Amino acid sequence: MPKTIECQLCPRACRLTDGQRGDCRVRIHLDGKLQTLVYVNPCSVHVDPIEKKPLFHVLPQTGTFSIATAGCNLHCKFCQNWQISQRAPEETHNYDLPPEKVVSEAIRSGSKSISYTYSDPIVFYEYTYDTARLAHEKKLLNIWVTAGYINEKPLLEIAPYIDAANVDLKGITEDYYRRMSSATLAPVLKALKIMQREGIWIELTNLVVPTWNDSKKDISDLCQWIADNLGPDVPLHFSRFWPQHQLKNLPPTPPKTLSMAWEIAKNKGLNYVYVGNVPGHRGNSTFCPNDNKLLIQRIGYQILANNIVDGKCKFCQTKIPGIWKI
Amino acid sequence: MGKQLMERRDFLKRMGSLFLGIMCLPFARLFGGKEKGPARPAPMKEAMHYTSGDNLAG
Repeated sequence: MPKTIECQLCPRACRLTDGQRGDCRVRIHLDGKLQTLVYVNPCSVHVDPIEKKPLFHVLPQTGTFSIATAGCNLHCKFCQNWQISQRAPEETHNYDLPPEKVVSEAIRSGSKSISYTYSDPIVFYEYTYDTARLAHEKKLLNIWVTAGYINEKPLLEIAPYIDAANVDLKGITEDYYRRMSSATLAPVLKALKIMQREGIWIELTNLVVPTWNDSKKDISDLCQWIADNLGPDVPLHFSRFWPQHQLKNLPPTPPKTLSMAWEIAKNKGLNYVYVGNVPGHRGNSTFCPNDNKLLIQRIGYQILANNIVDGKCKFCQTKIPGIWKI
Repeated sequence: MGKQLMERRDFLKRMGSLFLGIMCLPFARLFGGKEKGPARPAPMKEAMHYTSGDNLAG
């Protein structure tokens, strides 16, 4: 029996002796094998509007059957799901839900997709992998909501089964990732390029945290990286921070900061820039990058008008990128 | 005299309520929320993407 095992799922590369768990709390070395502790046992199961992920360019106004297990391979100070992400599976109340049941329940609920979300699907990789393959057989889309902190080989293996992803691009400096999330930035940037290259539809979320990553330079550099490496058609969601977890001392992000971020992103040439958690902001809706006509009007998760027909602007026929039908 | 009777009655009412509350405690557990505690251990499944170890460098 080997004395140590190295997990190669994410850049942490945890080296484990027998009985030891990885940093994520859900993978354990037992008798010479690495075992997952969360296969078929999600602790969160909901049907959400797809806009909540947030995904604004994928099957608008449909339900997505959303699951998560305990654990996470990041430790973000602002995490709003810390009650499950920073917990071991024996500390959460879990359901028995094998992959075939996830799929049948998703269909029964009328959902058009399954989202692997809330904590981080990277840590319940095997569960996601098996479920996603079955979901495709039943013509359901698979959606990742993830921080993207994963190694290349496992990403390439699962990529054919992931149709869309909302990926957190939390900041644009290594220092921010280290101080805020106890992680590193470079693997996330690499994963984003791989996802796009492999045909996964990606939308990015940047949580704007007062005093941490809300400077004009931070936002400008982040938008520039997106424009240079992923292109202007990748949607970017600026999300408003609310005091949570280990950052209860901070105020919520002022709406004017989010408006500033939105302006910077548009000036950098990004075509689809959104502002979350600020009802009534122009950034709630989708506009045509060609003629600036209102394409999808949203209030919260509700769609009031949809002027995208066959994936194009109804007015000028400009192709609008996204997954508009299965 | 009437005042003493009322005070005694109030005292007995309070003691009666206290006694009733204590007697009802065992029943509260029947209708209370599901007990939290260690979840049933998940069935083990071998993970993907790892390597074993005696040849690990460093």
